[in-house]
Amino acid sequence: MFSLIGEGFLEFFHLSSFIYMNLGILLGIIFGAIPGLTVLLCIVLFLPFTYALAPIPSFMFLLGIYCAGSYGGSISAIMIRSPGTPHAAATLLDGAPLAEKGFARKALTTALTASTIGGIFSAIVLLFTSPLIAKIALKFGPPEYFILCVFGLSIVAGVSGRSLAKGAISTAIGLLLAVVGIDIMSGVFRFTFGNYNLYGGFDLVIIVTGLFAISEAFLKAGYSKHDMKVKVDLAKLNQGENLSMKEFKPLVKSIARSSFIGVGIGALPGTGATMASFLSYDQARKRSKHPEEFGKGSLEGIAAPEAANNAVTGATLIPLLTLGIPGDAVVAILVGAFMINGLVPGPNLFVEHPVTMYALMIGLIFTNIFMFLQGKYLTKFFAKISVIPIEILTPLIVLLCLTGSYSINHSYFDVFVSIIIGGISYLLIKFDYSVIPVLLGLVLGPLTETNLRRTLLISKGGLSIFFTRPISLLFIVLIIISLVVIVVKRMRSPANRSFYE
Amino acid sequence: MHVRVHTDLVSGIFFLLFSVVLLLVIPSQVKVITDEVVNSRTFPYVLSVIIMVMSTKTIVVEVIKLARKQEVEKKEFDIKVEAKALFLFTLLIVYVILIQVIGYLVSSLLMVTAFLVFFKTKKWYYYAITLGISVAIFYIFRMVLNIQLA
Repeated sequence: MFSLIGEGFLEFFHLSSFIYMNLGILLGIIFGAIPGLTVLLCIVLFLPFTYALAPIPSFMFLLGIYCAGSYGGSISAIMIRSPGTPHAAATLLDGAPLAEKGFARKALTTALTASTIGGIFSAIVLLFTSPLIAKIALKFGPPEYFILCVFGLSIVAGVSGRSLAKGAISTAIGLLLAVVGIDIMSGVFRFTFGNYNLYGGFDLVIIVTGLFAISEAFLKAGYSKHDMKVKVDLAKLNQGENLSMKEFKPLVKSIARSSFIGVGIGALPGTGATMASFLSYDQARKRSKHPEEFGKGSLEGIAAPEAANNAVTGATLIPLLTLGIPGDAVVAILVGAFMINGLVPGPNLFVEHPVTMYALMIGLIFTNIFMFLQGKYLTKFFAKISVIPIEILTPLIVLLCLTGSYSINHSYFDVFVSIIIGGISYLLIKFDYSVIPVLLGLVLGPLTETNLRRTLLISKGGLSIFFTRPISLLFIVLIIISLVVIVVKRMRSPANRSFYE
Repeated sequence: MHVRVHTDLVSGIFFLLFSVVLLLVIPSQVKVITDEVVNSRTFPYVLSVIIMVMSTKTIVVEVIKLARKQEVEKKEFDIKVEAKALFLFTLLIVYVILIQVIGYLVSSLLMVTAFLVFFKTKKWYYYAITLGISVAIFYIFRMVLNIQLA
């Protein structure tokens, strides 16, 4: 293992890795910091640019966006009281009051330090646990894989959207989109309606562009200029003292706890940073020596959610790299980047491309270090950029997205598909259906179907095979427990029905 | 003008109908070349049934609520905002058609200008920035990424 870490380090240690990583970090923080723009959108927009790159720089670029975006949300949460990302809403609770008291610098440094520690911890956990999990996963057969996919999909369906039924419908739509095109097991075309453009199925980027970017433009239809009359007072950043060592020491315990929570939640497919942030914030408040300070500018209240949401980043890669199951929506899009580079996410990655995998995981540690440096020296720039007007951003994002959709296959049909999916996504959102399960369904569709069919072929159509194999049975029990917990939780607190909201 | 819509009931009925259409379409759209029990139609059928069961569940829950005169969730839709969203949708469709007629660059500049006008932007430099970046995007795709844009 250690020799592979060494080889991975050498594979990673090239100037191009650092350049693209820093470019990704810069974009990630910017997209994270601007309310209304998301990390997901950033990855969708820039994914086509990575197709021309070698695997390591390409992954460094995308992971840079992913990690830094998690931190970027806290800048606008602290400076303009508007979280750049959903999970930064927890940071806002104490970050904004502290900034208003004149300690914006302290709040931002706390968020940055906690984010970096959480991110590095998560990357180290990924580095040491993934190869072991992949080894176990190699023993999985089609029944285990199918049940594992169902496990991931059912959690996503359960935690996103307003009800389990709606989540399940969204998931089924995603799985249906994955069915379109040629069936790899029998070679027949499905739902192509005689249109040759559909023979190859839908490309992930084209659907994702519609689901998350184009729909966002339609959702801006009701935008009024008065909604965004915010100004950043950069003078705030120059005032007040910075975080001192004396102040940092009591935060260590809270950061460590939150990092564990973030890793634990991130490693579960279908969960996410928002859940980790709020849970960590809640835990920090319950265990704090000064719970009365929470909500009024507590440093612990900033450190806990920030450590947790960055600890999610590496952990979400664990199920992706070891099982081929993405931990959240952003990682689901990374599947596209893996495929383009001839890497099929799953346990075989550690057998067929071990050096690339180690290079990627080591790169993630460096990504967090450079995120810290950029955050430390470019905060003023990021704070200023967080108030770019929506009217400039929206047309440019639409233009970039549609051009990106075209560039995949040089086909205007694909651009139409993106726009139509954007319209459908808009309606789904308006009717309170989450579109995250659609994406996960689309990504996991081929894996789910192939393993279901293989299992049923082995068992000659019988379903008992799922209950007679121990690992499969274990996952079935886990699915039932998770769904019961989700349903009970929803019934108890209807106001808190979606973890993503 | 605002319209209050019973979102769960309306979407439930829509997805129930959708699942029925799906079940009817599968035999013509998914060919089967083997006589095995598990084939290329199995998964689409499973998904149709999932949508049918879940939408039926949603409808039943809402109908029971209505029958018991319990509070049902209704969402308010602003017709003006929805019409604007429809306009943006149409704008994008027209944009893609236009690319094939007058070329990528000109139609892209028209599209972003239309967006700025739509948002009632008055500042001239917003137009200058947006149009300038649009031209840059064109050249990046064309020169750096070698994408042949019409």
